[in-house]
Amino acid sequence: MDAELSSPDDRVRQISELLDRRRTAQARALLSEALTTHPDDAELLLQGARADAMDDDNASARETLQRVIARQPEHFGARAFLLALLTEDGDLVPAEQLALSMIEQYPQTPDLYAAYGRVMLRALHFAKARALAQEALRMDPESDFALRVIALCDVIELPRGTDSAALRRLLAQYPEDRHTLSLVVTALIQSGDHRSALRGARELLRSQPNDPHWLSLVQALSVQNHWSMLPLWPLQRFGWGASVALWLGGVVAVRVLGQMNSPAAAWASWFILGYVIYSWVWPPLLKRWLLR
Amino acid sequence: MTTPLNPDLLRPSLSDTGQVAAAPYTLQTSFFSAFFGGPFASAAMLLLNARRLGRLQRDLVWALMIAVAFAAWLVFVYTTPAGHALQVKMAEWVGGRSMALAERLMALLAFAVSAALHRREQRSADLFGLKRPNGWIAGIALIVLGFAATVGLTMVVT
Repeated sequence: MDAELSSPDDRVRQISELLDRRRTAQARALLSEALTTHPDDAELLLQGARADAMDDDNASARETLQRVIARQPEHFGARAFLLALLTEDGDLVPAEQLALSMIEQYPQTPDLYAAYGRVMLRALHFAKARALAQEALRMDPESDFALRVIALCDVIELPRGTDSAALRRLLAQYPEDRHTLSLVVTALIQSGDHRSALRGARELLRSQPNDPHWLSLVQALSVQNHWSMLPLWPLQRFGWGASVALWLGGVVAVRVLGQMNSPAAAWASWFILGYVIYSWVWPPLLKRWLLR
Repeated sequence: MTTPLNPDLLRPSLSDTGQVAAAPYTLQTSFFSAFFGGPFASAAMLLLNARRLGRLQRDLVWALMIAVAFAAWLVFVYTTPAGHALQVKMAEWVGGRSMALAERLMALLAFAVSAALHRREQRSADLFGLKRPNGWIAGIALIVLGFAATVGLTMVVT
């Protein structure tokens, strides 16, 4: 169908469907065709910003959105998308201003409270982030955005290994959703369960094979799960706490064996030294070798 | 759908960029500066991170407690008869480098305190992929300063 014969709405629908499947090149081809006949169509420009953001060009996406907002200052979709990009880019002061002005204008929209909660979470204001997300959930108990923000708060705030009720609800309500799976992978990485995290990350990569973020995550987790990393499992699982315990245990073991005049003291010293060197040197070497 | 309850939630929290927290130094930088620089270096790293995170007032008391506790330990073991006796006992238990080991143990305890205080911020920085400051310069500077402060105070009290 020619661009002249197709209405902007039809084009927007087609482009949106292509972007949902992350076919940005095809979407861009349709978009440039449609924009020649409708250069100022806000919805087409919005799809252009989506394509830019998907291709990690947030600066260009933001520029396009500012253009839409300059023409239509009340355009909800453009402002909401700009808010998401400002948050992602860490421009938190303008993000907060935009969130507050939108909430003032649309006080009955729960997702705006959740979006503001996400800004606060990014600004490390944990209590306010959770309160805003809970407010959004109170206004709309089915809001998946609010649940996602609460699940993120849980991943950050709860002790390792603690179940997040919000994440459980998301899994029950939206088991196929990639945002949910991405949150589960994040929670698994935080809890040190790299094997399960790799399974989840592979699923995400299968659903979005062109996404460089999931590709690099799968690569990084593949390194963590390599058989030669097995001896480093305590350090992977318990982090710097394990390093402190290793030093303390090593000192005690070597001293006790030394006081018993056991030849094992020297062996223990060399073993601990070798283990420490292995933990420093091997992971980066393995990463280079596996990703060559 | 209902109307929002709490209007306090809608008060701005980030009026200018100075109030936006910056990513803290990594736990790796904190660990190595504590391990090689001692408790004074660990306390200083806690303050550096607290300043970046905009929670200096809250953490100042912890940093002071770490520094004062370590200074008090040095004064105790080097200037009091009970401290001298303890040094002898420790040398019997763990050998000649017992004092250095005790200092390192205290530094790692201080690191554990700092890590616990900034646990949420460290997780957030990892989760959101925040850009961390270069740890080499601060880490090496703190190791040198921490070591010099420990040696200097030890020389003063002995």
